[in-house]
Amino acid sequence: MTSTSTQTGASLLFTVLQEHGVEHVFGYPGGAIMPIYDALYDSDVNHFLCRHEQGAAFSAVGYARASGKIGVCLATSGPGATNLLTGLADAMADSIPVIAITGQVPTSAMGSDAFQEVDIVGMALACTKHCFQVRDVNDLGKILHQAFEIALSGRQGPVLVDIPKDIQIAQVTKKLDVLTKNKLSDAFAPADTSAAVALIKQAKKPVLYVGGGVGMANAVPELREFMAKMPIPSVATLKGLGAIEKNTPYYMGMLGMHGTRASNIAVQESDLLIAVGARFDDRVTGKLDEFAPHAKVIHFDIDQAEINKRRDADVSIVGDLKDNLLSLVCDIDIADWQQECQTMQTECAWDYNHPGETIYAPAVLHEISEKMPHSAIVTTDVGQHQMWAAQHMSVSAPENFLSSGSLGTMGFGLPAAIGAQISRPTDTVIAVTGDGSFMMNVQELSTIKRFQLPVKILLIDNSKLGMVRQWQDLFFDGRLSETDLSDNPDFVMLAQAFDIKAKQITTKAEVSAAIDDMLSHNGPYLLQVKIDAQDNVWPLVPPNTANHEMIEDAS
Amino acid sequence: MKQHTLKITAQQQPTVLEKLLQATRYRGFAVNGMTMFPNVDTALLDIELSVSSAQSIDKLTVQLNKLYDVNTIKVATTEQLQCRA
Repeated sequence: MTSTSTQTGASLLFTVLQEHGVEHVFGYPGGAIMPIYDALYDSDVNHFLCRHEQGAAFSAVGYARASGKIGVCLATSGPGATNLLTGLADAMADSIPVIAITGQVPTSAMGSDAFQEVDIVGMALACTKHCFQVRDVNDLGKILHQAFEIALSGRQGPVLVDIPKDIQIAQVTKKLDVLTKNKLSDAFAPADTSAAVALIKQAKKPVLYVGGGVGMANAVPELREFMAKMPIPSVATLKGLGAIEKNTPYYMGMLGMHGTRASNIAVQESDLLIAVGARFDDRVTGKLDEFAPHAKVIHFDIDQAEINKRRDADVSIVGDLKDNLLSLVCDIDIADWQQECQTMQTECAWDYNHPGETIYAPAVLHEISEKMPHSAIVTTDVGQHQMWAAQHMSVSAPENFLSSGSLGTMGFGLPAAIGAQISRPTDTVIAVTGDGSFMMNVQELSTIKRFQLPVKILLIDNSKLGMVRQWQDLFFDGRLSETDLSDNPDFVMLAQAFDIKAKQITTKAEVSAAIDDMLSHNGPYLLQVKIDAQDNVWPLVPPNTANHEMIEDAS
Repeated sequence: MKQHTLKITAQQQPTVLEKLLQATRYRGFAVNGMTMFPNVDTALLDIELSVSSAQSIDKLTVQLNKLYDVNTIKVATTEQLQCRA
C-alpha cells in the first residue's frame, strides 16, 4: 500500500500511478496543474505532450484499447478540463478504462468564478463512470486507488479526479488506510447457463452476435474455442470486429446499418440470437420492432442494465464471458442453416472490380488489409472511410481495430493512433481517416513529429463531409448543406510541414506502389487518396427501416 | 404513466444527489419529489425519490444501481397516475 509520508499531493499522484503500473500519460500543462507537472519532472512516468487536451484524451483511449491497460490523461482547470470531455464521453460510450486528472483552482478560490475555474466535476458526471474532487490531501491516495478500481471493474469506463492546486502542493500527513472495497466486485458467481443451452439445442437457425464486450472481457480465446466446437453462423458489431478471424467458417462480417447483406439477412431469418457482449445498438438493429423478428434471444453481458434495455431476452446471463462462454457448448444439428449462410456469404461477397480510373476506396482498404502485418492496428475516424474500413479490412483481434463506435467522434482516429503506437511501439499502426475528420485533431501531427512515431495515415479524401453528403443526397433531396470541403489545405504540404513523408495519389494505377511505399517506410507517412466525391457506402439500411430492406448501389 | 417511490441508501458524497438526478432525467423519468436525510446510525444518506414515466421502473433502477455511491435501491410503492381530461 502507498507510503504517503513526506510527499506532496502532486508527488503522491505519480507514486500511485506507478503502483498501478502506469508508464505513459498524455496531457497538456497549465496554471492549475503546475505542481503536478513539477512533480512529473522528477517522476519515471513518461509524459506525452499532445497539442490539445482532446488529443490527450483520445490518445489515452487509444492507448487503453490497444494495450488492455488503463489510459491516463492530464489537463489543467477550466478550458483544459472541458477539452477532455469529448474524449471522456467517447470512453464512457465505448466502455474504455481511462483516468483523467484535472487541476483545479485552489480550494480557497473555488466557487468564486476564478480565472480558469469551471465546475468540471459537475460537467463530467454525465460522461464518466465516476468523478472525484479531492478536498483533503490525505484523501488523495485513497481516491486515486478507488479511481483505478472503478475504471477497471465490471463494465469499464472513465473516471475523473479533480485536484485543486493547494491539494497538489500540500504535504500528505496521514498514511493511507487499508482500502475496503465499496460495492465493486470483480468476481461473478458462475452463471447457470442451462436454460441457454436448452434454447441452443432447440434452435434450427441460430446466429452468434458478437459485440465489443468479448474483447473487453479478454474472452477472445474462449469465443474462438466456442466457435471451433460450435460452428454457429456469426456476425459482429463494429466494436466486435477482430474477435472472430476472417476465415472462420460461417462468419459473415459486420451487421447493421452498413453491415453485409449476408449478416443482416441471416439475423433477420434466425430463430435464435446469441448476443455476447453486445447491446442491440440502434445502428445494429435498424427498426427495432422488426429486428430479428423470429428469433428468441440469449443475452450474455457483464452489465445487468443492458439486459432487456432495447430487446427483451428470453434467457439472460449476467456475468463474465471469459468464465462462462464455454459452458454453452452443446450438440447442435444446423447443417442446413450453415449451408444457407455459406451460400448467402458467397453470393454477397464484396466485388472490388470498379470501372474507370478513379480510386475505389474499398479496394484500397482491402489491399492494405491484405498487405499489413497480422498484428497491425487500424484506427479510424468517423464517416464513410470508417464504414469502408469496417467492411473491407480484417484485423486479427479487437484491440487491433480502434474506432469510435458508440459516440461516433470525428477527430478520434489520429490521436487514438498515437496512443496505440506508444502502447505497442513495434506494431504497425494505420490511422484511416477522412478529410473532414482529419482536420478535427490535425494538430496532433505535431505530437507525431515530436516523438517520431511511425504512424501511417491513410487519408481518404473526397473534399466532402462524405457521410453527411451521402445522407443529404439520399434522404434530403440532394440539398447539400455545408458539406463541401473543397477548400481543404494541401494535405501533402501540411504533413511535410511536420516532417512527415507524404504522397497524394489520384488514379488506380498508383495504388499498389503507394501502399507498399507507405507500409515499408520506417517513419510516419501520410498517403492522401483522392476519391470520387459521389462514392457512397453500400449497403445501407435507411433510417427507421428493417435490416433486410437494406439498399445497394443502383448504378 | 406510473409513479414510483424509490428508497435509496447512498454514500454521503457531494456528487451523489446530482448524479442520481442526472441519471434519472437522462433515462427518461420525471422527478416528482425527493427527500434526503443523513442517517446518523449508518453514516449513509437515506433518500426517497418519487419518479414517473411510461417506462418500466426497472429501466431506471438498474442504472441507478450501477452508481458507485449508491448502496441499495428498492421500489417502495408504485401507483397509476390519473390523466385529467
